[in-house]
Amino acid sequence: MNDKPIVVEDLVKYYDGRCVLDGVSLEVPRGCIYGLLGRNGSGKTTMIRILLGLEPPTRGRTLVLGEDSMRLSARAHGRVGYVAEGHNLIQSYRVGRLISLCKGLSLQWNGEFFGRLVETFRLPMDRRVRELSAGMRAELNLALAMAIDPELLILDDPTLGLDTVARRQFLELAIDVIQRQGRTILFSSHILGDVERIADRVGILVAGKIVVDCTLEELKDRVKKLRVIFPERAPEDLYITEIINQQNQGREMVLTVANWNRQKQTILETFRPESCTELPMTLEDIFIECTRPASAPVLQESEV
Amino acid sequence: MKARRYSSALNVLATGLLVLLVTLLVLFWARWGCESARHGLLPRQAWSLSVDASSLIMPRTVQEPNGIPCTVHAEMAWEEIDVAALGATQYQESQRLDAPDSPVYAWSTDETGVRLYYDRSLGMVVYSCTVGQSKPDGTVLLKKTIAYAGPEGIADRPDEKLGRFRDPVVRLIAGNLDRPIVYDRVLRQFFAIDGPGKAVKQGPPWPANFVGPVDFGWPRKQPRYLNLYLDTLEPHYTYGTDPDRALVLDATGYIQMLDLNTLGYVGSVGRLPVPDSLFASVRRVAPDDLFAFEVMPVFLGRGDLYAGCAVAVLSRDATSMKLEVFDPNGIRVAMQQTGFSDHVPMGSGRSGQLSMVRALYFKLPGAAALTATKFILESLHPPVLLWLSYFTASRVEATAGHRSLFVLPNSFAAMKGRDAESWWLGRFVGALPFLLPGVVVGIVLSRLVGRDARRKGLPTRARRLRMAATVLFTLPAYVTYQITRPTTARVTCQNCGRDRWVDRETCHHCGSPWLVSELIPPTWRVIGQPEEQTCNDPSPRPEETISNA
Amino acid sequence: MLTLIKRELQDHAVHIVLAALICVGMVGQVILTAYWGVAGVGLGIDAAAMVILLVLFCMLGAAQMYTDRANRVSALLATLAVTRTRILAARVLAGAAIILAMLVPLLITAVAILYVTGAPLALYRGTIAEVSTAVVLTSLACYCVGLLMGWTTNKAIPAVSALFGILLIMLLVVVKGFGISAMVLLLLFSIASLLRVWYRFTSVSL
Repeated sequence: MNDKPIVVEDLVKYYDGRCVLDGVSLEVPRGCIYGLLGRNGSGKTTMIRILLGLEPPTRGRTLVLGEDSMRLSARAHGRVGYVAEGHNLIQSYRVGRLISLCKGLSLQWNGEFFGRLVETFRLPMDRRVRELSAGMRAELNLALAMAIDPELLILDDPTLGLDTVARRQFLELAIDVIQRQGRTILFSSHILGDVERIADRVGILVAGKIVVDCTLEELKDRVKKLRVIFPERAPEDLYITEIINQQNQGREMVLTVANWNRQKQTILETFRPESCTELPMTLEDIFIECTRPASAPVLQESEV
Repeated sequence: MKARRYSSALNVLATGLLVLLVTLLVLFWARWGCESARHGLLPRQAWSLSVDASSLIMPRTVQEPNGIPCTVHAEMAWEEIDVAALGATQYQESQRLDAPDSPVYAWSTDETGVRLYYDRSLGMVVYSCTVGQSKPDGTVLLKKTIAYAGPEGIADRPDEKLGRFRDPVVRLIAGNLDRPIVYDRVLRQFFAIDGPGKAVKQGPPWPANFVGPVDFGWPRKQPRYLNLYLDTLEPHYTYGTDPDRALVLDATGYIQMLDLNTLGYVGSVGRLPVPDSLFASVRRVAPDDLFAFEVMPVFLGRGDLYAGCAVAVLSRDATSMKLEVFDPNGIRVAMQQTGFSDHVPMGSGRSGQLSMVRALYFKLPGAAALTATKFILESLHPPVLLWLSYFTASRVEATAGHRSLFVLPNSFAAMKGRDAESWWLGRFVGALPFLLPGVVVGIVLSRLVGRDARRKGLPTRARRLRMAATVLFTLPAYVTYQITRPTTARVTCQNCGRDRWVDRETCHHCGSPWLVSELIPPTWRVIGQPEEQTCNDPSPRPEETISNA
Repeated sequence: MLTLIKRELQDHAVHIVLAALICVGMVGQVILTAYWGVAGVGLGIDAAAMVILLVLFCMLGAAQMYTDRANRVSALLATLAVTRTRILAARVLAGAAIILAMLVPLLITAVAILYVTGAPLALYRGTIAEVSTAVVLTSLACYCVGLLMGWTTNKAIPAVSALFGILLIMLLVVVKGFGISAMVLLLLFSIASLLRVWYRFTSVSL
């Protein structure tokens, strides 16, 4: 098995002169649940499609299970399960026929497990795919991806359209997959609560680059949101590097900083603040801070 | 990357081939339309010739001291000639049972009838028929007879001792099924099969420099489109074949007399006439140089007196016809070729005699426009193929030239290439006005390709290859370039300000790498080291092991 | 591979049924003409039916690529244990199998009729082989035209350009006849078309 099932090296992608990915590099180690985050249009789906060989990259390269994405062998494809955004299935097929097709084209098929999933999701065999609800299509897509017992599972917003119960079931399934030794998951989602619950590592795409690529604990440890009160008006420039966000209101400053360390602490103390309080942040809070454009106003809690 | 380049090169070649085929087809049909229109410029009567052949018959009869009027006529199937030249028509004609190269010489659909054919698998001429034998009790016993004839003899069964014919031409002289004459192109010998006598007579083996026959008996090519017949009031005079002699047309265009008893030549009795052509300097023609011909022998009495022969030919491009009559010694006694009689209008109220070819290409109303169109269409043809047409002008058989897509044996350049009067340099210089326009078009298009390729940042080697291909193949290469040129998006280079390709690491104008990001990401990063952190990898819970299907 | 071929055949069953109906009609018409009909009329009907069959083969190729693009079939298949080349190979194999399945019975019937009517078939084996091969290659070339033109989301483009392509193929056969030169050109045309289709299919975004 490959130590790094996913390797992205300086990936650049243009769509008709518009840059979407601008030199993205990351590695997903084996056995990891990697949460890929970003705002709408940040390039998550593009990167995933390039990984699977559905899109050619403009520059750079991507490796999946040690093979170049643009020349993935059938065997490598067979070891990757994929749930696409929008659940790309053949709409005119009946569910039963689609299952037979996927089963016929798989390297291995876990019929018992698939059967349990079908029962759990209550998928009708004789209905056409286009007649299913969005949630049922998602469940079908997920079941088909899991049934091949994949070594690598790539999920592009897999819980889109799922109700709460189904979402919980999916998360449990994902954990179930990862518990099999050596399995890896790359998934992107807008429901950060789910990501926070199961991801080991997160990556955040901003302006075509990976600005965050670390474990969840490390992220929470290194990104700090501080509320600082100064004796007089809060200074405009603190001479601290890697400020993610800074909001001044009179004597009060709310500061979000990346890679908070002793040196930055020392610099802050030179301004002799009256108080400095760390505000706890969830993953969602960190994500909003990281992806907010610099010029965008911050809604204060009192204004929400 | 290498694989990508190879597949891209394959794509260009495949596209080029497709575009070339489509272009050549379109050009072919445009030229065909031009030639059809050219043939349509003349009325039907222009395509028939008549010549007085009384001199063949007058001196030989004692009963008719004033001689018997005798005229030889030649007519071309004017309205069918353009379709005749197409491959589908030619193929259909070649597969008929009565085609010149047909392996079937007589065939009854009823199994009891006569069948005479060449069996390629056996290498023998096979004769089968059913003969009825009357019995004493009045009934008729049907007996089937099969005979197999090889170079060495005839037998009731196929036998290796009979030998094998390799590539025979078989003719029934005077319609005699019992005595077919065979010429084998590989064995280079004549054979006379005597069915009733159950014997095969071999002719003398020809020397190595012998020019083999193309046809014999009544030599013809494209008989459906060129008809030769003799018109006389006296039925005692016959024309056709003699059971003891046959005319042989060889590959150089000479007509010999073959003695069917000795199977050797007894003398030359004529040659194929040279039809008029645009560059009228060809000194002699071979059968392959003509679209159609017919050699008609004339025998007197019961066919035992050879009086001479009439020969009609249709030129390679079917624009002129010639008829000649030869006496028994092979001396030409009469000749006529297509031209205009006075009543045929030639525009501007004039009329008179004109060379048919010149009229069709220049003088008749609409002829000049058709000629100009032909010239333009040939100039659009890939120069490399047009130049090849010049150098292979005499090597392409006439009818094949009418359905040729790649080389153009009927082009002006090829016509000039067949000009036998000039020295090779003079011939080449004379052909340049027809060869160069295509090259000029190619150079112009090549410059356009080069300019665009440079703008698009194609590597130098690729650009030069494309330009060279455009010079050689003009229009198809230009269209191929337009279809297959890179279409990747471009953005402004931050260094030189010109457009650069997004899929190149460096700017193809100034060589600058990507200096400034297209997007403006934040300056901070939170990047952890993968080795320092271990991902969750809990051991599987025993109660949840999954069994594989 | 068999799974993919089976999928293609199931998805385009309509074309198969239509082609089969035309072929059965032609076989019946050939038999009737041989025993009761007028040769000229029979040949005319056969020629028209053959042209319709060629159009159908072209439409088959176009439909295969069009439905793939419109329904994003390969976008799903390419994520399973197959490569794009294999998907395309299965598609072409299915098309070739359909062509052969339609034409072989027709050619066998024609040869059988000729044999029954006492034609010298044994002496024209070469001709029969040539004409049969030319017919199959012409059908394959028309099918390849459909594959070339079908990769679009616009319904009109495959129809119009495919008809133009078929016209060119038929004009090529009229120019060259059924001999070796025609066969070589048809084969080159088919190979070049397939190469171009393969290049486009393997490099395009799905």
